[in-house]
Amino acid sequence: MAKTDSQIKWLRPSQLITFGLLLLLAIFVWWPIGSILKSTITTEAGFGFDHYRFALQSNSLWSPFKNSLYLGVTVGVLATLVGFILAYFTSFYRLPGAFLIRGLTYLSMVSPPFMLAIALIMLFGKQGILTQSFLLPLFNWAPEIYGFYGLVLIETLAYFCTSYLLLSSTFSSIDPILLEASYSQGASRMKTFWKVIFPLSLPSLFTSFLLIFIESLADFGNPLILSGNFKVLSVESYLKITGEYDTAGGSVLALALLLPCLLAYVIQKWVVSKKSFVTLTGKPSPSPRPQLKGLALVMASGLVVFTCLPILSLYSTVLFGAFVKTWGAGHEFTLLHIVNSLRETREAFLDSFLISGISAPISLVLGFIAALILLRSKASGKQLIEASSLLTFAVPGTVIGIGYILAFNDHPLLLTGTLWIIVALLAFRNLPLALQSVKNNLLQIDPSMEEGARSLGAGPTRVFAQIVTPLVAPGLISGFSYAFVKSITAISAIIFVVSGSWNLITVNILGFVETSHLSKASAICVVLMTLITVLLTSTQIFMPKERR
Amino acid sequence: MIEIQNVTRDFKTDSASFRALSSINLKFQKGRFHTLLGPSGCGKTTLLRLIAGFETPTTGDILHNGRSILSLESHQRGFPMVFQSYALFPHMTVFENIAYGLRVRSTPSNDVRRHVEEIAEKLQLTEHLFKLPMQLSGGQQQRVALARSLILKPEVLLFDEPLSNLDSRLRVLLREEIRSLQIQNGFTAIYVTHDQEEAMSMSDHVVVMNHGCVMQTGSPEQIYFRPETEFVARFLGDVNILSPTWLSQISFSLKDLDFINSDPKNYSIAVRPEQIYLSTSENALKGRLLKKMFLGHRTRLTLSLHQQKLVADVPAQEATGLQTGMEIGFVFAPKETALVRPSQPDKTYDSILEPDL
Ligand SMILES: Nc1ncnc2c1ncn2[C@@H]1O[C@H](COP(=O)(O)OP(=O)(O)O)[C@@H](O)[C@H]1O
Ligand SMILES: [Mg+2]
Repeated sequence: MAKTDSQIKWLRPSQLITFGLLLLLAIFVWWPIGSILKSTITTEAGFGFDHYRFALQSNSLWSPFKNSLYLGVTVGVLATLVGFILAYFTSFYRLPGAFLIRGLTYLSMVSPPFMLAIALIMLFGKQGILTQSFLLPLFNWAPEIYGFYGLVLIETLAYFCTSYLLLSSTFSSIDPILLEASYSQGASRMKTFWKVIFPLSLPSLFTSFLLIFIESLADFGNPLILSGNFKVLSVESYLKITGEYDTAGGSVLALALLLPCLLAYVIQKWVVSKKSFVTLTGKPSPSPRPQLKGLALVMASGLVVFTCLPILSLYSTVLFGAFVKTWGAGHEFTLLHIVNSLRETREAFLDSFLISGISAPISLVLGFIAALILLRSKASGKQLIEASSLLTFAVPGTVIGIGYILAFNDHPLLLTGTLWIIVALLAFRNLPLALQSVKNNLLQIDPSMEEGARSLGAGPTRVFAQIVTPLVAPGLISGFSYAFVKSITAISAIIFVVSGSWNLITVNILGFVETSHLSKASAICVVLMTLITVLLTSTQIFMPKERR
Repeated sequence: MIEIQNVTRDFKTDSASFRALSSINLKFQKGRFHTLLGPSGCGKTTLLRLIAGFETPTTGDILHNGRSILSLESHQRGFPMVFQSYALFPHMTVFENIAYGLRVRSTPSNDVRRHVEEIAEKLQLTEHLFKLPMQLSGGQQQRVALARSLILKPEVLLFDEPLSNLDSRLRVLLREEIRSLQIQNGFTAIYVTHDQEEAMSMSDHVVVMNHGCVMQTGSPEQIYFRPETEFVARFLGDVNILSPTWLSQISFSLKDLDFINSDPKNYSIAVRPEQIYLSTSENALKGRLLKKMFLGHRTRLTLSLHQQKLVADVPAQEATGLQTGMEIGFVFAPKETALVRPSQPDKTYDSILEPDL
């Protein structure tokens, strides 16, 4: 009588791979974060809490901490609200202009994260075109865009897409039968909204709030450009380290930034999402969406236009700025900025594409392996891979960046100043994106497909190459695109690890903004977005046609 | 021949351990059609997957032609499997799906073409060979899955509820097709189903399972007419289970049963509705007619006698004059009844076997 464990033999190497992956995650994700902790409790005397004491006494911790939370909560509420309203009207009614919102969500994905801030300065800054030609002459008023209000505006406009996408998918998974049931019981649309739709979307509202709260806290580019005297943690920790060379002080701020983000993420992941009633996999029966009429139509489309137009005009500002001779003075068309800025930043452009071209495939391969382990093996420790990769979603880029310079500036892993520190950072930062993308695809594939192939005599390698890989191709392609775009537009983490020899294009854009070369900054943004769009479109060519 | 020797399979969840199969001993004779029959969750699929090599037993052994196959991985066993969900490769044409197993075996492409065309012809798939699976109907998809397995001329073919996703007419059609293919090709079929009609109409040998145990094995006739337990009797169709107390009230003599070999006190008697006959004889039992339901070729009567409800299916003509409330004479033949052991009450199946359907 044979006694065997319950493990299928061909998956046994998965145990080894699982350990390998965990080791990599430990080195490139958790060790850097641990290094931050370590640097905050290492003093000249060895061990102590001097850095914390100092940070508290000097008020350099408390005030940015409060500001960051305040900003995060404000933006979280506002952006969630805007996204909710837009998602409601576009999901339940036919509305002109709904395509505008989809366009905006696309733009926000492919643009450098601080682009709207550049546009805001070009319009409403001290030398801004609207300030100079309109507000000052007519009202003798120059708006104060640097500080809390400017940040709230820009971050709300940048992050409402998160809430819009989340709530749209929630609304579309609410079976219209429920609403019809409510109407047939005599409830009005208003009553139905408050009694059915709103309660069902409550978990998604909380999720959206928490995710945007994290995004706002982690935001680096916008505050760096716009925060003025309103100091926030991400920028302060950066300035402490690169300006004052106070690594320990910066680390304390980074930890103060990390904790609320982790907390919010844990609440979202393990509390709020458990309360969700709506299964996102449900297939609701399609029902005709009613056309709004009269006043309601005017108000609803007004709302969509009112939200979309400012954002669109901000994007257009950047587009115009890239092609006019002197912003605010001479508005003749020119390609000069494009040509000049490209000449100046050619190296950085090439570096950016090279580095993303290396890091995105690494994210993809590791993500693919991790997804296979998670869904198709019985290896122990696989839950750790999942938890670990999920938690990195919540770690702000600034924190990772600081962690990397602390962890990899010494033997045995001396990477500082090399290409590889940037590659490693981006590869592991975007691994969870690739993992989720492949995993979602793999979840839709019936495992009996693989079992069928094996029962017909195909060995594991053949099943992997001929069955699994072609079937998850869409997930692989979108995972790769996502990781690549995120690498190209990343700023908060990589700003710490760039060096003289390896620079990145987003850092150059920030440099132009700091030296007030806004036309050049716009020009690069436009080129970058065009290149990304071309790239994304061309990956669509490889997308297999719908098979189901 | 495939032999299952003392196989147990435990599934460990976070805290508890769940025994999906306990001490299974079975023999599947070569070239015959075997079904694993039982309610959902009883472990049929698990047993089939153990044979296929997708699971490993916690204890026990599985032999093929006398040799243990536990150390062989599923692709080395050569037991193709046909799934409920068809499991066709959506990115390959029907041709490539059917050819897959031959390609794996590096068959020359001329031979592949010849074999695929031959089997496609047999299963009426010729005109669909260059379509993608998604362009076929469910019945055609399952034919492709069959062709894909049959082309390998396997010694053993495994089926996991292959017809459950099809509508009932197609189900009947395909089960005849599968059965005749099995007879022609002579492979050993191990076929999982929860549908007793399917099991009885297709098989040479039925294994009835419940709660991870084998309840009874035998030919369809043995299983249907000579169930050993109440569970098997009820699972294979409507049946009247008559307790010893009630039997003594009607002075039914257990001595008339010629197959008693143990203490009859704990046993009940199973009588199928079609084994109760109307009778005008003096000695006939007299029951009150509670309900009458016309079923087409037969009429179902619900009778009551000494607080026991009985269901009888009688030829429709015999029932024409009967009206509810009447006293009716009926008989059943001891030789046609079966002695059954009571089994644990099984909630799932009680409901459909209430005598007053
Ligand atoms: N991989 C698994 N992990 C845990 N429990 C399982 C697993 N596979 C099957 N089971 C359990 O074993 C029992 C038998 O399952 P199965 O063999 O699929 O039943 P059947 O095919 O007869 O409906 C069920 O209770 C099922 O929940
Ligand atoms: Mg099953």
